[in-house]
Amino acid sequence: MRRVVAIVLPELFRYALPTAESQHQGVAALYVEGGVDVQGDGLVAAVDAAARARGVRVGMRVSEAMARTAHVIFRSIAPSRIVSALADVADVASGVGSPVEVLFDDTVLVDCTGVAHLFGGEAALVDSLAARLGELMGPLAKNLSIALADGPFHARVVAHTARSYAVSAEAPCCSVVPSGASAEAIANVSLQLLVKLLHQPVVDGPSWASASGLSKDVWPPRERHPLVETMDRLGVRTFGALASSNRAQLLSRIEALTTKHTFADSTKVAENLLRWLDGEDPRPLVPFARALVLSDRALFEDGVESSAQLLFALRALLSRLSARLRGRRQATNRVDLTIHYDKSYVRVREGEGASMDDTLFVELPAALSHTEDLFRAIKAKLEAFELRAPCLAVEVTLSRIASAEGVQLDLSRDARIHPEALPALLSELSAEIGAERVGVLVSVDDHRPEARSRLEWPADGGVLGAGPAGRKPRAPRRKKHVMPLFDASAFGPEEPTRLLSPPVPLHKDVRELVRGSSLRIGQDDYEILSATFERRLDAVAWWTSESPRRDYWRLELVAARAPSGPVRAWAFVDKLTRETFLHGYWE
Amino acid sequence: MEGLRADGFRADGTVRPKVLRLGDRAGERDGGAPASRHVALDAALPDGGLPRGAVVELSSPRALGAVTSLALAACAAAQREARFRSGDERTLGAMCGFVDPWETLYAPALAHHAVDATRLIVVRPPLGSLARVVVRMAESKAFSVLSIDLKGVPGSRTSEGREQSVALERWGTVVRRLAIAVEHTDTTVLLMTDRLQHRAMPLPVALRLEVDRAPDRSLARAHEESLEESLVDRDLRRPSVEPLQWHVHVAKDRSGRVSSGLRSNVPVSIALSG
Repeated sequence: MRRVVAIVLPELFRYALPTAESQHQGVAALYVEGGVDVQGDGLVAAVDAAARARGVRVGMRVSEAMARTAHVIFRSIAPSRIVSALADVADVASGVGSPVEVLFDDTVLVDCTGVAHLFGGEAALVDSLAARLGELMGPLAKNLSIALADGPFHARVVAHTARSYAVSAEAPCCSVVPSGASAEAIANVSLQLLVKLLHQPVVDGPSWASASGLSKDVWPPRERHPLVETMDRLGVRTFGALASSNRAQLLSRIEALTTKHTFADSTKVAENLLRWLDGEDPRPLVPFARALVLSDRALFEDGVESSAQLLFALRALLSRLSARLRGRRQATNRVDLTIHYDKSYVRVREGEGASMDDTLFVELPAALSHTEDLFRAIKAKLEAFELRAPCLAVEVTLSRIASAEGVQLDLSRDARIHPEALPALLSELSAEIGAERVGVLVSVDDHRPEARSRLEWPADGGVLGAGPAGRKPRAPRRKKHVMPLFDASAFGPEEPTRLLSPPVPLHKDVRELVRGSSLRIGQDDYEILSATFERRLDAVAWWTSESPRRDYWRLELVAARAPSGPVRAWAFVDKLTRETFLHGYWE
Repeated sequence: MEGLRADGFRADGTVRPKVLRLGDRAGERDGGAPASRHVALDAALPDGGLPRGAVVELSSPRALGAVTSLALAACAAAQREARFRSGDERTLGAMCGFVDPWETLYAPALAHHAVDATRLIVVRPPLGSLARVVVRMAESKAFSVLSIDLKGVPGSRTSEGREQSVALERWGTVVRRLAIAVEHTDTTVLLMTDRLQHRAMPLPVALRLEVDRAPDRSLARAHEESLEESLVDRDLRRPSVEPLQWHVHVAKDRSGRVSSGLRSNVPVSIALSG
């Protein structure tokens, strides 16, 4: 049996408001592109509960609403911002099912057929989804409503009227309609809801609002609907009453109305309505095309002047982006942070030609998706950065999105280690001390000893592994163990363990490399116990400008300060300059 | 099966292959670590090996002791054990870390010590960030062995041009933080310090090993005899190589006992060319 989740966010427009205004009560929104000021003849597109209680309705003109009440504030919001907010919710919802459909301006549908057992049941599934959305939206998530039913229409209806099927009193926003009970679930719902349900357009991608434009025929929906009005005149006011009507007469009524009026779903209204009344809705969801680049933005009314304050806002941004990444089963290889300054300050301090914003970025060695990992990586960079002027906005962009591959359980260690622990650590270290100081040693095929060792960044797949989205496991308490040492084979190393770069001059002639001679290395004096010729480098790397000619010697030295044992050193004589150098140690 | 000893190891000392599976791995201590091939040093240590979830100090005069070789041997052992325990020859083994502020660790030496270089993360922090970096690395719990070089070698310099060893006066707090970070994990932190460097208080480590060279040639003979009994494949040994002989003195054990007086002269065969 098909199972679809509907997420209804009645006041989603708050998500698109500046942070300072998002908690205001009594707000009516107009969907107008381009930051146009509110005009008297503008149509109200969305209202919150407080504004509705004061008599403001969707579709009402601003002048009429103002005449009804003076306690409502009106804000213009670009439809693209609403679509962007819906895209954020869709990203999180994609973590519980697929495909995901978005309906303007407050509904997201996701097909969860056959996945409930992965979450421990349908109730646990909707709870998990509610928790993830809470992580994304913060306090704004308290108004959302989630319903699980046999089809998208029934799920939407129940989500709008969620009280009867609440999973628990503590979570009134989550409802689960038992399989096969969808017709019964909508029986007592008013037909008035059809007005909105039939008019919500499907959003196919992030650029929907700018591509198609939001014409007045599309939004806001009218409060009246000829079908509903006709049924109301006939005394049929609920879905249950409609279902118990004579089907033949009902069908003829609806078809007659269809020829007179234009419905959003005009060609199949009658057919769909009868199926809905029977508890069926086979309509496939239209997949929402996800954005290739994720970005989020925070605005500050009063400018932020210190990195510490910026870090506080940055954590919230990264939390939302992390929720979207994990919902999409993706991770990012790069984090870009753009700081937008107060232009007036910048002009005064640096002149007209100065840049009004700064961009920092962090390249991640492996794709990361958790908030804390992303935050630690960017924090190291931001703490060392000084703001040029008060910051009015900060934008985080994740431009190199990659698939977050699952990692199998690793049995090679006693303690369970989170798969992203090492990539996150390397990201943080590279941001703090520089990527050139972190890596793995690579042996290079070269005659010159100093060119035979190089520090390189770890290659993906050989050292690092992208971690999956999920909880970090706790390391269990275990007894302390003893780790025995590996008994190195009897091979003698041809190469020293430590190599000095550059070599240290000894200020000695080769004839002085004999037993009993003294050497000064750094702050210490040493006596040569033995000197053995080892190898000669001659005519190597002749195609370069630094073709060395060296005689290498193995020296056994004893320190004058601590005459307890010899030091095994590697020295060479430069045959061109006749100087001696210390090059390494066996240590 | 031919070539297998009673303890489950092959006659040449390598672990039994995966397909044999003759029972529990013999020679293991609590926790499932494979028996050491470094028999002499293991026998000298209080618990039969290096402790896990603890900080161990390897102390030697600068460039004298084979502490770097000991640290690399520990890394190789951890990686080998990880491959053994995962039961899959494709496993790359546990990750190890090496903090090298003086930038002197040499890549070709890793292969000789059987260390998988792709599983050894080398970090070269400036001395000003050293404490913060090592604590962060320990807290990540991503490493089986974390080796920290606090002494350098004579003549080495950091990227800032400093030649001196790290001042240990302030490292008591750092060591405690390291110990807390690796407690209840299987990570071993190895601190390589200069025994001749002045310090007001000893570092609060779980185990301190003082590495010195054995002046007595009789120990060299004893080592040669032990090599005859060792698990190394004789055909692969190069007769011209003379291993160094080292004293390993347990200055402090897990119980906090600080030994004095008699030294435990144990010849430890670490094959470096003589």
